[in-house]
Amino acid sequence: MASVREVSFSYEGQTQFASLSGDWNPLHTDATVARRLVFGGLAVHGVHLLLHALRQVLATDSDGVELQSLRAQFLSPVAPGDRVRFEQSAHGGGLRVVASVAGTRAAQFDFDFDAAVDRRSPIVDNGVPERETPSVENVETLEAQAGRVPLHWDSDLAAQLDCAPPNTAWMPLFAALLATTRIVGMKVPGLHSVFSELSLDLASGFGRRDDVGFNVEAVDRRFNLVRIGLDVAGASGLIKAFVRPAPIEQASVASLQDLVPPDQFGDETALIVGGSRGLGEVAAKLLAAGGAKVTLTYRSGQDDASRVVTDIRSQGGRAVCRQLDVSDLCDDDLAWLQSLRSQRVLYMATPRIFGEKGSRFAPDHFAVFERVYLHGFLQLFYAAQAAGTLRQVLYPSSVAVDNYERQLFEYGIAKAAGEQACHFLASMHKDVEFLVPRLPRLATDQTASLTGTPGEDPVRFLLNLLR
Amino acid sequence: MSETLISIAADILGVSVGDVSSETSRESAENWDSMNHLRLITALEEQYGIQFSMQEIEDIQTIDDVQQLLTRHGAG
Repeated sequence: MASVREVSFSYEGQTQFASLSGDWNPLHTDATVARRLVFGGLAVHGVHLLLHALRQVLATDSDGVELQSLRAQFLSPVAPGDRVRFEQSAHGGGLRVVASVAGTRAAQFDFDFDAAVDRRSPIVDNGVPERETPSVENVETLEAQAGRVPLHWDSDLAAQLDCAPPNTAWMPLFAALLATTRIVGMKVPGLHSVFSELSLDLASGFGRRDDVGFNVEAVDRRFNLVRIGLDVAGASGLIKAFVRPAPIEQASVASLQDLVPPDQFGDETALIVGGSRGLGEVAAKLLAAGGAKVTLTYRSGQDDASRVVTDIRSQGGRAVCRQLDVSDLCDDDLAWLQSLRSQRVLYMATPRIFGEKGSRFAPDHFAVFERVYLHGFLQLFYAAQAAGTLRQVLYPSSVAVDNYERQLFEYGIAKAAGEQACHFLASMHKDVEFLVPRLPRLATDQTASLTGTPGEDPVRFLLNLLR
Repeated sequence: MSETLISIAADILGVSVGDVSSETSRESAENWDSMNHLRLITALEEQYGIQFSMQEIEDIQTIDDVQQLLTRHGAG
């Protein structure tokens, strides 16, 4: 029987689910850290989706049946606030639940049931696990890692999160599923993990123990894919997880000093909008290493921006940073921008680029890009230009403008509009030079992917542009 | 075309078996992104106990390419 539910996962729920499961991986709980990780933002725990799907399946008939096997595939990330559609259907001899967001599959769950057997299932309601720090592993250190984690359950918290089982007999299974996300997010692969798949053969003896054992069976270095064998309360299982790329560390100022003569950029004043990471970070360091007085702005990454400023200053350079949201500029921001008397403006601000769901043009998503790449840019240009000092604007465009990749539909159009704006401005402001290069994929957090598509080194690229 | 291949591909791409043909391609199939490409490869490798090289994996554009690759590896 087909049944459909729609659920939206809240930001607060992220922390509560981390507490319930003990999976405090920052991918799920720390928005500032998560924006630099592989999905570019917070992701809902896959097992959180799984528990919702299982509850949905059990809502119709949970008495007198026993789950024989379960397979959960986590296909694409769900962000807090996304509307997730859980659609249940018959599949093979069992039930399948597909969780999707805007028509794109986010997860697929297969359940096989049989008549209940008399099983000694331990009941646990022992509170949430103690909070730990995720272990930092890589493909080399993961080989042959093994351990056990106890089952934990907190009925009240589970109920608050709509994750409670229909009756207490199901509690050990729900607790065991929570343990699997704790293993992936906190143990192996730990900090740099992405949960991809879980399969459990519950008929092989679930309920004989009250903990979950794990054992790294194989690490496929081609894809950074880890296979983890499970002993789930006595039943066998398998986890597949990826070791995701760590945030990309851009070159330090010290390492750039050999490339840039100390007077390359004279005594000029440069504003780098979006200078806390990625290309903006590299540009700020290059300009400062060449003698420029640098002001960099950040939207949310204050720690990252401070780190760049500290690095520049430690090498004798001049830099300050300030928070600025180009999609929401106020009069104070504009007055400040004018007061900088910038000679160069580097417009590196960007929202999260990849990951649009669905195949149709998404006006809401386009609006996010348009606020940054067109409207915010124009406001900022006029403020900087009013000081009368401006002589160069770097507005990086993208090869996405004419590559026509479906994922980059909204982004490509917004960037194309920004390019056109630069050409118009250049024709009206002859005293200002506009550099509007279409950038290739450069190695930054935005372009890092699980399967490792390394980009070009941004340092040489930017240096040639700025000289 | 191997039925096993079609069934695995349909499962991974989230379509029905009838929607997978030798012409199904990374270009045409909506769900055939880099992640599902990897899932397809690892599922086939597990099914047949074989291992593809990175070059072979990157060269695959269509289901027909996959079928030919399986045949070359003595599988499917």
